[in-house]
Amino acid sequence: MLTAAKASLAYLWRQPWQLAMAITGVCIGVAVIIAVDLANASARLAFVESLETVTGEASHQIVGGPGGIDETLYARLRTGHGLDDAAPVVEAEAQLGERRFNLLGVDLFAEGALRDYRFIGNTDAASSDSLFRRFLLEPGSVVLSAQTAAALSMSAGDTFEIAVGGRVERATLAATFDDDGRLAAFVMTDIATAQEWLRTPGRLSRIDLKLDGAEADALSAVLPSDVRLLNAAGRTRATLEMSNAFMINLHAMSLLALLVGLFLIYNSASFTVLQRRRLFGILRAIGVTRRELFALIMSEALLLGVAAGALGILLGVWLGEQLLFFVTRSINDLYFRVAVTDVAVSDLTLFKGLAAGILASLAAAAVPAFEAAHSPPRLSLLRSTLERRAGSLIPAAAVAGLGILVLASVTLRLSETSLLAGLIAIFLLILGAALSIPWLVMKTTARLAPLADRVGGVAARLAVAGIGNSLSRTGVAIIALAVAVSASVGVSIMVDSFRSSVNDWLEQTLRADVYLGLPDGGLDPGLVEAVASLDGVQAYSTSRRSLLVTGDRQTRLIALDMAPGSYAGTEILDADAAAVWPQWESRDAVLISEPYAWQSGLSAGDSLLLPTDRGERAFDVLGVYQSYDLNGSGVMISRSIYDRHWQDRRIDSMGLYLADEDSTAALIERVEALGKTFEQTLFANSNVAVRDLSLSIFDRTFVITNILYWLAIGVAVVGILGSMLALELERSRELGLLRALGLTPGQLAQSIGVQTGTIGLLSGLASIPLGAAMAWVLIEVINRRAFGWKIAVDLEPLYLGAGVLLAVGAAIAGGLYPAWRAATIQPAEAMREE
Amino acid sequence: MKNSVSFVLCLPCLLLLGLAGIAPAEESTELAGLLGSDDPRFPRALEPRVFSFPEDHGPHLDYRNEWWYITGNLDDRDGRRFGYELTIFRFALAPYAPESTSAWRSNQVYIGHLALTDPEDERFLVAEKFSRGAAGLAGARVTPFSVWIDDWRIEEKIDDERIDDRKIDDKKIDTKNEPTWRLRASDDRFSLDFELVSAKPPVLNGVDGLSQKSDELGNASYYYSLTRLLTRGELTLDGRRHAVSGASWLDREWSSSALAADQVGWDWFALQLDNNYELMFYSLRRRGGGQDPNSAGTLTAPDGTTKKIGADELALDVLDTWQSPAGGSYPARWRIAVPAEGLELEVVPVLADQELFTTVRYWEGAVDVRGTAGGQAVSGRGYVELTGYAEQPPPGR
Repeated sequence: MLTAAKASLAYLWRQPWQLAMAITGVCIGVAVIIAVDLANASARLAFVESLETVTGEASHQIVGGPGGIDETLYARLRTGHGLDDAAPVVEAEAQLGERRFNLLGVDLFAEGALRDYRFIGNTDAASSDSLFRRFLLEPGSVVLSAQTAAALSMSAGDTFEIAVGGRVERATLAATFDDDGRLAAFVMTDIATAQEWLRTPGRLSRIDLKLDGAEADALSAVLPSDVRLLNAAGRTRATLEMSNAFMINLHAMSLLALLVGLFLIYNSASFTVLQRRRLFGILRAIGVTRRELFALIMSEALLLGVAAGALGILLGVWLGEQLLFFVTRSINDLYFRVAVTDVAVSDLTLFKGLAAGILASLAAAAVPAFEAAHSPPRLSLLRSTLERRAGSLIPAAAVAGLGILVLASVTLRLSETSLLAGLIAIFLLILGAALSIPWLVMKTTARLAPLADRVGGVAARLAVAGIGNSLSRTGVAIIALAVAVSASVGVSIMVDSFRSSVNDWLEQTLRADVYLGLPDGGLDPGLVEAVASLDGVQAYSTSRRSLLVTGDRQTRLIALDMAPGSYAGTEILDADAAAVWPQWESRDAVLISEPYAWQSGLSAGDSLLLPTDRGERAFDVLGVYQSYDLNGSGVMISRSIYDRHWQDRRIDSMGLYLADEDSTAALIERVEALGKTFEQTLFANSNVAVRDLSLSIFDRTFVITNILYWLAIGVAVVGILGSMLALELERSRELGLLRALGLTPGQLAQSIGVQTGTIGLLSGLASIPLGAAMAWVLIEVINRRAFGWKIAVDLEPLYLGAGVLLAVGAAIAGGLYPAWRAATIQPAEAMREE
Repeated sequence: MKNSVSFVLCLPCLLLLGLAGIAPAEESTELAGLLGSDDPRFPRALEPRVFSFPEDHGPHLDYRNEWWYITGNLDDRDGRRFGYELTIFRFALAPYAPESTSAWRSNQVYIGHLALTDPEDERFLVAEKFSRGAAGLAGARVTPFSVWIDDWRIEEKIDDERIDDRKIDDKKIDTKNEPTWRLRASDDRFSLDFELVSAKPPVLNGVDGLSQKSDELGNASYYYSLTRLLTRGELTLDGRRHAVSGASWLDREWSSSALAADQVGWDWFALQLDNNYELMFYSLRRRGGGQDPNSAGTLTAPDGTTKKIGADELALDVLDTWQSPAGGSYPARWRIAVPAEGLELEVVPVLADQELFTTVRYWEGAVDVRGTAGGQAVSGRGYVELTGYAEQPPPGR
């Protein structure tokens, strides 16, 4: 046994390239699994933790309408109702340099009951100011997370500029808190400073409370009708749910990475066994028992899995850190200001990656090990034995694959809205296709071989036929490549279709010539008036976006005062626009966006309950409008109706219609100059610039998707490289013979090139239907179920063609080194092996 | 005389450390400068002033610190004894508040202490509150009189009927012209809802209300007391209501100064005798031992007339001590003699442990008084406050 192990290892050692390839394969597979998981989990954790830290021990929140809450309610609750565990919050968006933050205005006196801060940088006895004192007496005093302060190279006492409500304000860093980065995306200040900066005296964003059930019931009974008592956990959940669809998509990507990673691990591990089949035959012949041989192979696989898995963990953590940046940026763009300062390396993630590496290695080795151990000694020396067995398995696998494909379509048909079912269907689709591919390859190569003979002679025929005859090695590589490429094709088509739908929608929606705006309803009313009366402004529309929170649903309410030209910008999908608009303007009615309709199950004719300042009111749903607003699904209401129900006169943005479109640039300058006189730094842009900006945010959202499928393709290339290397080594006798028969090194290289090229071509061709099917499922099922978006499928042949080219390119790239080796082979040496 | 020093010193320490969940580590004297105690813009109590009521029940926002300190001894109908303390402190962090559009911007901070002594169950319950003096959360005003922090408040009753004339020791006391105050405060475990009416006019302590605390000019406060507030109302403890009545004491003081450097704390006595006299005395203790000659007191006669008691006119002997489990040894029984007034009294706490673990640790508790006045047996009740005994951290910490 010891001798056998020595011999086996010595063999591996003599083939350092193959060993390295196997280790690299498993290592990358494990790394991809871990990296994607880490990036996702870290972003999610940071998101949840920062929400939880902000929620603190609060069990409930009092929230109001778009204008917030009258602050006297807070004093009344404290002085009249004995509510001790209550803390007022004024929340808004702030920008510090290029980074966006959540501004949190708090009353430190009340915070202790709900949130636990560890302030640092201020306990120095030499410092003659306490934080409370500074918060109360020094407007502009703020506190940052220690990590954020360090990242911005700031220390206590520093003064800096901060943009709040479109104005640049001066802030002083009074202290930092040691929070493990949980509040890294927060700027905390006194509630007075927050109100001063936001110009919202008398208003609170919410009141956080710690109540038991009975207290909550008692409190709801006495609250005025313009506020609502919500469960804090539900609120947190609703915020999380906004980003859930995004997270689920990332998760799907990580499953894809897992799948491709598993293919690769399996591929790499099985080669280390297959390539030594002759050695194992010899070992059996000299008396090594079946059990011993099997144990030997399996323990080697285990060793490979553990060693490469450990390397994969290191690589995966590093890779995860790189991915995290993109994930975080997308969340910031779309949902919530969150700063991820640390990669949350969970044992579970590492275990998952390592287990995948080890189990896939063992599984990959098990079949050939069993084979090698149970073949009569002499027989196992013959590759053909194995191939024959594989050959008999292939049709069965294809039948199973077909069955799984049917199962995938049944899953889709039976599940109406479940996103999970959609994802399961995608993986069934991939699995079914994967199982069918070897059979297709076998059949195709059998047909192609004579053709190859006619074109490239016997070497080409051997190369092509060799693919089908060595499916035990090439099969998995072809599958991995086909899956990776089809995933890239599917995702490309999906993203491209999505992008062009968004582009069309933006072009239709952005009808005004110039847009200007500030977040949180920050446009100064005087400025709105001044801009409206600028020369050259023919008409204008205004909008105000606010978030209404009810129970565990968040509704983005968009109040619009439309210019005549604006109406055509909204496409109503299920009702007659001419009939809808007059009603929308005059009565308690709304239009709902397509995603909102999808999530709420509402459509024209239904009614929607919204919390107004005088309690809940029913609004008729007049119709569903098309929207690809990435910022959350919305409900559109006319400004006059909005003003009737909500005490909020603020405006977020304006759209200006110009008499002369050519004067756009000049007008933007004048608008910006006007903004300065109101001390407001406006975002004023032409409709083209707004569209480009929107599309660039769109593109950023999908950067992570791109990275992931390039990783998958990279993994597949490594797989092909490994397969080709192994194949070439196994063929070395055959190649030596061919050389001896007079084939030139160039012809040999060509033979390898033909083989890899064919593998690439076959993978690429297989990826066309699979990629198209994936695109269809991604668009019609996954996106629809996750976001409610209806996207026109744009089956761009370019992407399908590009997929084939990609597959061929990847395969040829993988075959370059083997081809070079084959070309430099010494015939005598290669044949001496026998 | 009240907790001026400790609280002035401790506010920043509370602000810095208390809410941040870190145990106060620094010596409070090191924090003395944090409030800007030497800010010359704060007015000082330099000379006697004319007091006028009810205006002076209201706040004196210019001064750095001020308090409304009510203590009282009550019995329920079954004769069950209770003692209580409700104190609202006001501190100005700076002489002026910054201008602001926000109602939350303020230079005023309020702290509330609430304590209940329950000798029957040998319990001492304490609660503490903090708030900015802004946005209606805490504050004080003259008309109608009110001082509050959250739902703890002492305020004038306006619409309701007034307390009837009361009898004390069979002597009818005319309270028709005194306003009725309502005191409400609650904690998770107990709540107070009392009506208070003063049986005597305000007593000006020190020299016409100017109470000198050390030899340094301006190191003084304005100080008056309502020495006998007839009290009745409802006390709820552990969900059980008790109809209670008895007598309370209001101490009002405002200043911008603190203890002198050589003073470590004080012992304060507010005793209500059954002969309808009240004795207040504070003994300022010097670092290293001994009594500061600025220690002083006031004896109030049944008719409301007062007599200043100088440090050399009163002998204070400690008869017993009590070791706080948290460290520090407190005096626990006293003999007080005022020979010129023929007073000889023994003061005994009704419960040994009446130590408040608030941001600053101090002892403030209900006491019984026995003794003689002019040869006649006299008894009474009162409150004693002991500060500066817990400065040193307990051993082993």
